[in-house]
Amino acid sequence: MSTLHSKRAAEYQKNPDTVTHHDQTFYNVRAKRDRMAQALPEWEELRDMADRIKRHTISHLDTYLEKFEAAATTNGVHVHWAEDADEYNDIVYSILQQHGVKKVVKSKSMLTEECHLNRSLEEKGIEVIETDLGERILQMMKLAPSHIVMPALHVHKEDIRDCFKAQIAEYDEFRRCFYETQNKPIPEDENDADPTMLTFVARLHLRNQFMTADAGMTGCNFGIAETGDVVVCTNEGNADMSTSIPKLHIVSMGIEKLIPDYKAMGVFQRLLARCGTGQETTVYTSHFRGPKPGGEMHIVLVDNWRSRNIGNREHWQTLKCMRCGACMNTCPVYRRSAGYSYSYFIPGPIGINLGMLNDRLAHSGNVSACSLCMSCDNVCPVKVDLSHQIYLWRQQLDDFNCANPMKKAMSNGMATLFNHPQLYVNTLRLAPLANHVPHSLMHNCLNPWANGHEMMKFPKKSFHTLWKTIKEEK
Amino acid sequence: MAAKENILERLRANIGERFEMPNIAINAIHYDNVVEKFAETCRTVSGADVVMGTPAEEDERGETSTVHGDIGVAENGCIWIPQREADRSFLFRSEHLNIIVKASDIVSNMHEAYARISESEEYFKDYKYGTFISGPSKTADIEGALVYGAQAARSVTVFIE
Repeated sequence: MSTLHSKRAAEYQKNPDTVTHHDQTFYNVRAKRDRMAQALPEWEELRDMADRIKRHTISHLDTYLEKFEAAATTNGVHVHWAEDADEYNDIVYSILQQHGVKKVVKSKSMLTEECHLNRSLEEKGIEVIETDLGERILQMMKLAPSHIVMPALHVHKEDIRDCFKAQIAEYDEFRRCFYETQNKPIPEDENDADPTMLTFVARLHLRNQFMTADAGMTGCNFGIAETGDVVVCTNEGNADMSTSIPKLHIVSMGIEKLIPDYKAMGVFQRLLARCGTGQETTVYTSHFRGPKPGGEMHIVLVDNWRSRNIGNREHWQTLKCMRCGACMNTCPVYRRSAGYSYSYFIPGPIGINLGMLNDRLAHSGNVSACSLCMSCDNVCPVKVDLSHQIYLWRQQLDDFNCANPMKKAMSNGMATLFNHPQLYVNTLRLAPLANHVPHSLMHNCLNPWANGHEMMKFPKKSFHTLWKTIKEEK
Repeated sequence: MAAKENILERLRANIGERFEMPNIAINAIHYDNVVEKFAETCRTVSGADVVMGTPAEEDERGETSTVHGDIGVAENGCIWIPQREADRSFLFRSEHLNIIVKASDIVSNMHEAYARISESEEYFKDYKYGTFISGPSKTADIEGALVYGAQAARSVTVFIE
């Protein structure tokens, strides 16, 4: 009874070069994060403060949401509330419909992934263009993100080139334009896949999209309750491009994204990029406080599973997460099994926990994707005790009938064994017989413990027997 | 507005222990020569060019645009640019951006920068937008290769006057 994660991970292992490359790519990001942490003497002070601010805000979410709504409304922003994904998708569609929108440009938002907004809008005939380069590549290739911050790092540049060639009509023109601006000769080989050239092609392609879109959508890294600001952090500037050209701006925001004020914002701004990508800051930290002249701004506050989990004494602190991705980069299981091995769209330690809060029956398989090394706990900027949370979920698997029957039978067997000393001693005496079991009988699909390594050999004399002998000799 | 009431009702019913708001006082990094550190960070972290002085003449909005920044942050090269005219898209559409900052407006860290924004009456009054920019637009989305000029400005020059 393997979990979906372990099956997919086994499939992923079949290409060791890909695994090594993935592992090293994300470990490098982890190493950059460490250098950031070590460069700031106040690092732990910042983490401690971020944890306490989030605990406070999450445990006062009712009052902060009202405060945020009041501030945003005063700023001329329309605030909407959605209980679940369907309601959220309907609200967004109705705003777009009222403005006669045919094309939307959007910056990255995990919430829109969670609610399957793009699919919902496309079904209703609205064109949705992702503008984060990684997300745009995935959208064109019809793939899901494999990481929340660096979603397309697993895709090879040659595949990106082929995709661009096939789907961007002006590819040849844009490519020529790139070499001209660089004052370089155009390579004779039309199959060059230089990342700088491909990025330039995407830049010109997306410029056309920004100019012709009727609305811009963004997510929200932080909502500031006191002022009503929506803060969006990007390196590409695509959130700002998406919102400074079209007149209509729609923000999608999970209700847990709130922080109290600008003082708190200073703490989180300093942590986010350092933890996420190992940079001192994102290139753009943009504060949207209201519509631009002649424009409209809407904020949709989405619950979807958050309010019903806020009372979960064991797991509510998962809501402190600010989606930096540091826990994925450090996770040895994520780095070697990659995003698509997980059943939830957010992978790694935080994805395991968020998936369980969202739909525990659908995503309980992910809880085995953890070695309990606790590295994630130590890098989390808001001190979500991720591995402890995963451990707790494992203890509860049986309560919602998701326990692995084989492991359960073994646990029960071991409980009997360890609770009956005489049975234990007798069993131990017989244990060396297991050494004579033919190799093929031990190493087969029925015994997952023999996967990838040899089973232990039982010594002829147990520790108990040796101990007794030594004592008697004395 | 059923959704709002339902969400708030569930929150009120479900929230357990309510934690106090901490007093946010971070013993944050401070640079004695804040201008020198800012210039260094702009070069090495932000990937911007740095010029001590004022640009010869302010360019037309187009390939190159020039804008005044109000606060420079030494720890990360961020420059606070509040929206000052109806159309802000030139900040992102321009191929090249010149940002002018006064040496006296440079602070050590983000805590000081946000304190200044909070204390000022000027920001968000006429236009409800402001952004911190640290160098040219960047991406590493294709195989992790760092590329300048993903979507917005491909290069940035910071003028410290």
